Amino acid sequence: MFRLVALRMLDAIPTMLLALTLVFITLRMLPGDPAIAALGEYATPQQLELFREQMGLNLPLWQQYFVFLWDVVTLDFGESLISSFSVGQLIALHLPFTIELTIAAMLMGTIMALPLGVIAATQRGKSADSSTRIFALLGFAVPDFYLGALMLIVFALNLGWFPISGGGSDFWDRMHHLALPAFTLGILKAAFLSRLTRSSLLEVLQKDYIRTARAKGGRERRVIYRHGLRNALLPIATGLGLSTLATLSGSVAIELIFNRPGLGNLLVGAIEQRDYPVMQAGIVVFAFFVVLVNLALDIIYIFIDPRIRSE
Amino acid sequence: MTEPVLKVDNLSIEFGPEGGALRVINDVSFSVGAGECLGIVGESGSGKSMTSLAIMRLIPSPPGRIATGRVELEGRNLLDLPMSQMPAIRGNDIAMIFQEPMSSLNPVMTIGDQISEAIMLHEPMNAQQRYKRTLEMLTLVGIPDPEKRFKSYPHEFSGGMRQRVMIAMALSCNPKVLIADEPTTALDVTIQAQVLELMRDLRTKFQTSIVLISHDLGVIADIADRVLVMYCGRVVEIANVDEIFADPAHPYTEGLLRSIPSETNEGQRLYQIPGTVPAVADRGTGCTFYDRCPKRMDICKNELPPHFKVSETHSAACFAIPEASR
Repeated sequence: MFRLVALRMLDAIPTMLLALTLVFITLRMLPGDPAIAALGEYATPQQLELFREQMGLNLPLWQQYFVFLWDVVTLDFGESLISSFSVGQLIALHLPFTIELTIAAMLMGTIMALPLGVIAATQRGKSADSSTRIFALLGFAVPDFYLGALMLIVFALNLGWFPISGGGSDFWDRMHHLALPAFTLGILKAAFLSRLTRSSLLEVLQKDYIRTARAKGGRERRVIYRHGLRNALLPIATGLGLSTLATLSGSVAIELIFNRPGLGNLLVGAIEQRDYPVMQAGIVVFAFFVVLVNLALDIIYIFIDPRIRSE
Repeated sequence: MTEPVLKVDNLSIEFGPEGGALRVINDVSFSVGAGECLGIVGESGSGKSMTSLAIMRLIPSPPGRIATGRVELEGRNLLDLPMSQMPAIRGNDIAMIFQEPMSSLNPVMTIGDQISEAIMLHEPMNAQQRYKRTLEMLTLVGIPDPEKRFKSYPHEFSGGMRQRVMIAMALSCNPKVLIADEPTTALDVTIQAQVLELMRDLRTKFQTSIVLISHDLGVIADIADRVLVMYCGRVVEIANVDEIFADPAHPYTEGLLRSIPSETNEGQRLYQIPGTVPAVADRGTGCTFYDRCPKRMDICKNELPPHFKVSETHSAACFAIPEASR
């Protein structure tokens, strides 16, 4: 099993390399001169030339490519054009807020989704099923910024239970700031995940081995959780992975609404101000997470599906 | 025959909404004594599997529903019990082996865990005793190297091995009745012979009553004491195994027997019962075999033939049975 885990980790390296290459090519293909973009249209040719020299933009493309790769490996993303912090420092400052939001939202979403999905599947066609369906439809239909604003108005502004903006300072303060945005995202994630749980559990409950579990005297609860849900977890895990990625890169709106200093917030600012080094580093970080989550998924599969283990 | 262990009386099963339901099983009655093997034969759709699932009360409901009848286990009507008491009976008093060994085992649980789960559900044993019992069961069904196989997953087993695991699981709590629904159909002939041999052994060893469902008359002849022939959800003939093969009374049974390839009909075109099984909705008031029957008479069209006794142990539902032998 450890060999398999190690193999999957090795597999992730070329994927990451490919992702980095794509980032490099895309950024070089963007129209416009980064020097002009950075220094403005009124910069003198000498200033531009000096800038290009400093940023290594005069080197042949293949050299730039290797410099880029080396910078990524050594986590040296250069200086921000706007802020006085280095890009590395900026990322280090903002990334934890995004990660904690993603983890908390996914946890809340999963905790809500699994029971809802199980109830919907086992009470198929009854009122409990319809209620979860309505919940899921609402979750799909309501945009995150709208739900976020609503939650903010009700729970932060009117009831005053939660802070209105920011990321918090010490641990408990951070959790306090995290609760509302994570819950908002969690509800939206639960909409998707509960449907997924329902459909994959319904499919599993048709299987012959479920009949076997009943025939050997298993009570419904045991049949559904131990035999049903355990097998339904495979597609659910895939959905969880995809959903985690979407949350990492897609919670920009929530970060903006709750004014959390997360990576999405940083990136939006960088794009507005054409802070190329920050943009580039942000994209690299997201690409890294895509590869990381996929790797995690592969490893989770190894643990939950014995058929993969014996490949 | 001594007091029957399992007795099914006038069992009828309906599918579909109340009012517009279709009756797929009609007045099925039979009994099985201790250590006896009853074979149930019939083509696909004749209601064999449905009958066996009904005994376990495992018919998916809705849409299925047991409309009438009794299923008595040692005198106790299982259909009267609240559903919550059924798990204590399933796997403990009545165990079942299914047709599809490839898909009937949980793919993410080890073989050993699946067998010891059955033991855990019914026997007051600690983990160590359960482990020991599971190894015994694996050895009993002829799985070599049980300690190692305990930790194997179903996908690491062949079809025959999986069916052995199913049998080990079914027998792990010494059931009084074993229902085997086409236990050898998915297996090749040599494995089939081994599995049947195993069932025969177990029967003599533990006095287990067996209900063996098969469409393979060869298998039935091999192991059953009595045979029940089903057609369109009804019992059309019931007799001791030698009576059925020597002297079938129902034209449908005759047809089935004639369609077995044998040495005497070698080189000839194999007999085939003309037509197909009518759909449930198309069954009229008369004999369900009417359209395909070589001996049909006017009376068969609209009147359902009752069971006529041919001998003390043999009866068949056919008007063509001569008055003298009824």
